[in-house]
Amino acid sequence: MAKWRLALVSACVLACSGPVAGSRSSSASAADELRGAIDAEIRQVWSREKIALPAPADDSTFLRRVSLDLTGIIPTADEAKAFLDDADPHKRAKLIDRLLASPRYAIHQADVWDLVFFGRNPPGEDSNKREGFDRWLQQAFEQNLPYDALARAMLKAEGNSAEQGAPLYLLQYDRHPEDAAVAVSATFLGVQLQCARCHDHPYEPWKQNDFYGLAAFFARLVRVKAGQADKLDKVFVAEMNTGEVKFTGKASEAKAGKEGVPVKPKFLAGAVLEEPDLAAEFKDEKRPKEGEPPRPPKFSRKDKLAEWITTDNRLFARAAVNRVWSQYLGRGLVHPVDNMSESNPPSHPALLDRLASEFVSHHYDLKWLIRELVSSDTYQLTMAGATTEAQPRWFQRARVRPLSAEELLESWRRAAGYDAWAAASGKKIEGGRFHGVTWDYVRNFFGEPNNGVGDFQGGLQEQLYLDNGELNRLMVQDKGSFLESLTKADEPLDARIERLFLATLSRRPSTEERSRFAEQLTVKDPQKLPEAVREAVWTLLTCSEFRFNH
Amino acid sequence: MPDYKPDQIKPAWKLPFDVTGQWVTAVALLGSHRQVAAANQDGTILVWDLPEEPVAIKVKNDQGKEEDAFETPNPVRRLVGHTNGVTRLAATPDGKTLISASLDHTIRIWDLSAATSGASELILDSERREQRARYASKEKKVEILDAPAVKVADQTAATVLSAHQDWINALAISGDGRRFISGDDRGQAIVWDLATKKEVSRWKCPGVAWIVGAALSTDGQTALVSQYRRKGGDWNNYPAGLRVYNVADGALKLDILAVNYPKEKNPSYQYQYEYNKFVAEGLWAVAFSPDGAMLACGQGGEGGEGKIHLLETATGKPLRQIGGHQYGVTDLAFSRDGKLVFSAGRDTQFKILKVHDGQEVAKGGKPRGGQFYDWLSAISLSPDERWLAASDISGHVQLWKLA
Amino acid sequence: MNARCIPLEHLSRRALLKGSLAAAGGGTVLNLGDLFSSAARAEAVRQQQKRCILIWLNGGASQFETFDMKVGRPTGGPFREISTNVAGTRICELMPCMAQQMDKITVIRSMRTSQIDHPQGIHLMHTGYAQAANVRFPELGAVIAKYCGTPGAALPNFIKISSNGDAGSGFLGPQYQPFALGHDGSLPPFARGSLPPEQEARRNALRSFLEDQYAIREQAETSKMHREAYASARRLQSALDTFKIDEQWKKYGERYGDSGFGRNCLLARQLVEAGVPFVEVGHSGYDTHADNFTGHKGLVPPMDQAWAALLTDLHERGLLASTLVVWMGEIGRTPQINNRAGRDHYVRAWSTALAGCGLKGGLVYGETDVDGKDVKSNQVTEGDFFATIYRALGIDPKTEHLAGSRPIPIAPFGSKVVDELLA
Repeated sequence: MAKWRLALVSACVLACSGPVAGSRSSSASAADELRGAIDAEIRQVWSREKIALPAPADDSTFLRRVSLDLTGIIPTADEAKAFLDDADPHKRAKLIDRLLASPRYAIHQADVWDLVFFGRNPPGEDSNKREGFDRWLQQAFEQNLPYDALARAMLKAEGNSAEQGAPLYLLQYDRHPEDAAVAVSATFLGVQLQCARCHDHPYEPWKQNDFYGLAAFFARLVRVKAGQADKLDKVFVAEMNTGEVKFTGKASEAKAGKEGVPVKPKFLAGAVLEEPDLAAEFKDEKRPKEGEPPRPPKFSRKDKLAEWITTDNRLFARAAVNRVWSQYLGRGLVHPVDNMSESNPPSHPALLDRLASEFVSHHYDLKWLIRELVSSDTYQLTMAGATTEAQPRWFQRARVRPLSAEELLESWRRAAGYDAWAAASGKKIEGGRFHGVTWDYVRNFFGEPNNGVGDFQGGLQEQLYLDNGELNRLMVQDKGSFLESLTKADEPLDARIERLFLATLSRRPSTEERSRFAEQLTVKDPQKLPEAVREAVWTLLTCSEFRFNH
Repeated sequence: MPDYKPDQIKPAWKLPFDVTGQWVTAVALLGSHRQVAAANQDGTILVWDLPEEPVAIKVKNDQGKEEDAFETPNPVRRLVGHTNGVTRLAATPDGKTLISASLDHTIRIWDLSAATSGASELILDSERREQRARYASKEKKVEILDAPAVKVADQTAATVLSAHQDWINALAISGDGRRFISGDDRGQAIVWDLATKKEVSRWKCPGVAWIVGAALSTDGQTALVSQYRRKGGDWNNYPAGLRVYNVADGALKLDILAVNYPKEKNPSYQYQYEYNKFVAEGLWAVAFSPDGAMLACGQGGEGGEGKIHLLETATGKPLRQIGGHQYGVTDLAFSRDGKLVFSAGRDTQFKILKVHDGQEVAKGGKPRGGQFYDWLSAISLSPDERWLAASDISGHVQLWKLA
Repeated sequence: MNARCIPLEHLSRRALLKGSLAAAGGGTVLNLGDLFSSAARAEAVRQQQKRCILIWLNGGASQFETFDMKVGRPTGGPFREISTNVAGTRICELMPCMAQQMDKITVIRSMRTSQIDHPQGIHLMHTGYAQAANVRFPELGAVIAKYCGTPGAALPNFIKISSNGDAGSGFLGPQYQPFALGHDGSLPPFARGSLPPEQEARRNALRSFLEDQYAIREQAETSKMHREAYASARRLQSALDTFKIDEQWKKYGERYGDSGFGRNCLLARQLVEAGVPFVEVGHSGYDTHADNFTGHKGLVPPMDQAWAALLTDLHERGLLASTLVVWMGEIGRTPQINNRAGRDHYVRAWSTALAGCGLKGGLVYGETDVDGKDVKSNQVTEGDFFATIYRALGIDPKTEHLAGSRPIPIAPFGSKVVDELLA
């Protein structure tokens, strides 16, 4: 009964240095594996911080958590039932393997990383048509493209935004090399250069010439449109042979109309880029011809930067593992993840070092890294506990994150039986992946914040949508639909309630829930049963337990 | 009526009238092409005497090269009195009397044979001077900017009609030259007897819309009043009106918008669409055909393609839509035989159009390069219909020989 | 190092750590919470019950056709000045109603701002900041909602009517997102529930049961916020009548004038009276690149009447002393009149106005030169303007929030409160 009850922290009396209470289902626990190292490091800090040993998550919590984290959607009722009833001691490891091999893994990773690279409101005139980029991203995850190769493709930007996809990343900063410098350093190196834009950073080593030196790598990039593919504009990142970023001195002392001094490209906290001298008589064309794929430059600054960022770069590997860690464990070992600075030290320095070095020795293998993270005891902790933080500082409890707009809509459809009904009815689905309701509403009301960690503040508009919005459209009650099946008396009421909970919350109801829902679904007038069912489903689709991954 | 041919339409004089920050707003040929009056945004009215034909001369440009040009006569008279922009000029067919309407709320009637009193100096090429000075050497700069001004005799005597209390945007004289109509931004329309300079009748047009255009039939018995107001915000409709009145008693004879866009259809989207399509940014240029049977109404303001509606006076029904000036029509007139419409617009062109099928007979001027490049604010046709004057807000009065 | 940069612009390492730890009570608020203003201080601001109505002139109203006339100059245009109820202060003839309210308002004739195009200007004059690729700045309304709003109120704390700007709550988070009404003051989508009351009550009881069960197991802040937002959405249902003004319109329509903007101003007054701390009312069409004069002749009089009515109404109800009325667009308009009888965008010297909430009335601050081309004295930047607004509302303009790891004060670094405007 009520399996989740074990989450009512009774394990806190256990010694801190011992193994985590309960048994990890995974058989692989050797300390030389990364997952073991993670748990050892985390436990050591618990001990230091005098934190009682937390309990592991029960099977249903783990199932829902890992399904959402790896595939962006809740399990079906059948999957949930099968997993919960499976007696195999290795079923968690098997589930992880199955989810990582599922086609939805790549789809979901593409959703997650698209937001890392673009956010909901990206700059740039091409950025709102990202089909080409997202297709590339999805393929990259299908093939488990190493992270360094993924980053290099975006930063080298070879090909075009429609067919190759990756160039779209830099195109969003078209004509804004300074913005590119800020974004690239934050995203790929975890370094905040924003302050150095206007003045030498007071507490970090970054000087203004670091900022402008980095911006200089992007100064020669030009956006060129040449034809279409799949109704998408093919946009190229051309690189000119000349053109400099001009530094006008401190912003506070800048005078209008002052042209400034050209700044040489300089690697962050590193050397000035050595560039071949262009012959004095060399004359660059004013800008590349529109309508033609651009020619490569005689010497590419951009490529040099791409190589420098992604090759043997300590900052790069650390920023990557820190970000991926935060996606599964709630907060970065350095938090916020894009501010890895001396003034913001990691909570677990040795662990961050270990993650980074193993990531490099595993050739930037993201799937390997993710498997290690979600296989750790730390990831598989209960969400119950006395701490109110959504992202506990010492990882002593699972983090709580809101479902993204994408996860919500697809999970709603699955939970309400809409997808099954639509498939059975043979109806032609319009609107692509995010059909069923108006995607713009869902994206606008549930799309933010999206820092990949899941900061959440609620908000009136999202609740108004949950209360008065379009969920009714997903709660189909036609013959043969899931909701209709809940009205049929040939199955005992308690069994129907159990199915309802498995479909929506991926768990079996508690005793109290069974009786309270039985009360809801016991109506005098059989005509009123469908509406009682709809209310019951609505409460499950809108409640906190559904809204969050925990 | 002359037979107009596109290749015979030739520019003649281009009279500079460019006072810093002001543009030319109105023009009227006085009796023949030999005398022209034009007014501007600060209220200055100038009168030029012109020779029979333009005299070709050579002038040196700034690079010292010789260019063909016409001798440019200087204005002979300045009509002093208006304290704000002049919106419309109208002249009697004999050219002896000029009427001006202004944003200063007054109408002035000028006897052009009256004596002048005193004189003033005017710089009539201010922007040209500034342009030339910009790239000139220091000494040359002073020479350009301090070049002699034009000395013009002043006339102050005029009859001042102060019956309006707001901007007067509409002014038109009847074909017989005996009456004229004026209309202001408070919807007040007044018909005047020119000989006595007294009101014949007055009426208040309904609503909050400004009177933006008015016309009298040839006999001065019937009036057409066009109203419009820029919208006051996001979801306010554009108030407008197009009505025919009986001049003798100011009685409403026909509400043309009500006929074509009856209120009961309001407020459907389609109704709004059709209504807005008809009114556009206001029908700022209106005229009666000489026989009074037809009305021409040009879509003005700063819209898309400003079209001209031809309507039946008796019923208000649209007959056809003709012509068009990119961004809007500013002025229009029928030929004396009623077979042609002359129009001018914000595309710096004037056009001669056939009434019966809208065919363009000829046009003058060229678009100067898209939006934000000047417009022709008004045109005036000589009584023999061989000459046309156009006021150009870039600071010129253009004269064209049509045939 | 830039001297202005410390200590408020950047946190010392210690302060950052302190900030992080201080926020540990609510991890999700870490990069949303304010660092330097204590809860007690926020509560003190709240208790003053200050309100703000922003009259937003979208497209950029012309200073030459409102408050800074240059009659008779080449840049002057055709309108004439009228005298006002403040001796020596003359304004445009298009504003006869405001001429009788000049003793209540402070005009700033010396604005100089940094963004000359609409989207950038709209962002700037809604947030005080130029757009940045990596920081999402909150609008004035969101900041005021946070500091002057009542948590748990039935009505939203940040309401926009027919308005512009899409910065919203920025890094302050969705809790302070604007509740945006339509052009005609209509409610946004999904605001009104359609379930019969007994069904609504039944599903609410069931959902509350679920939430209570869940709260025993999981005590994260996030779920608490989710429950609170649900409660606020339900509370709103009880307050929807506050958005209806038909009855009031019968009584006050004549005063506010027969215009959509007039109705929206009356609605703003009703909302503020009901306790909403911030309402923005938009009036569009001021981008008069062509026909600036007829354009302003159409737009300014209905705006004039509604604005004057709003001030009168607030004054009569004793609300003006605690309600700041801000009047501004995103840009001013050029002194030069272009070849379309229009005026283009101009930010070198333009006008805004403030009224109520401890601002001096009857004051004209700053001066432009004879043609209105440049500020001659007492220049006010967007930062100074926002700092002054926040000060008038009792909010310290140096209050900082963290956007990611960056501390950002609500008025930009180096902004000065224009003390001369405050009584």
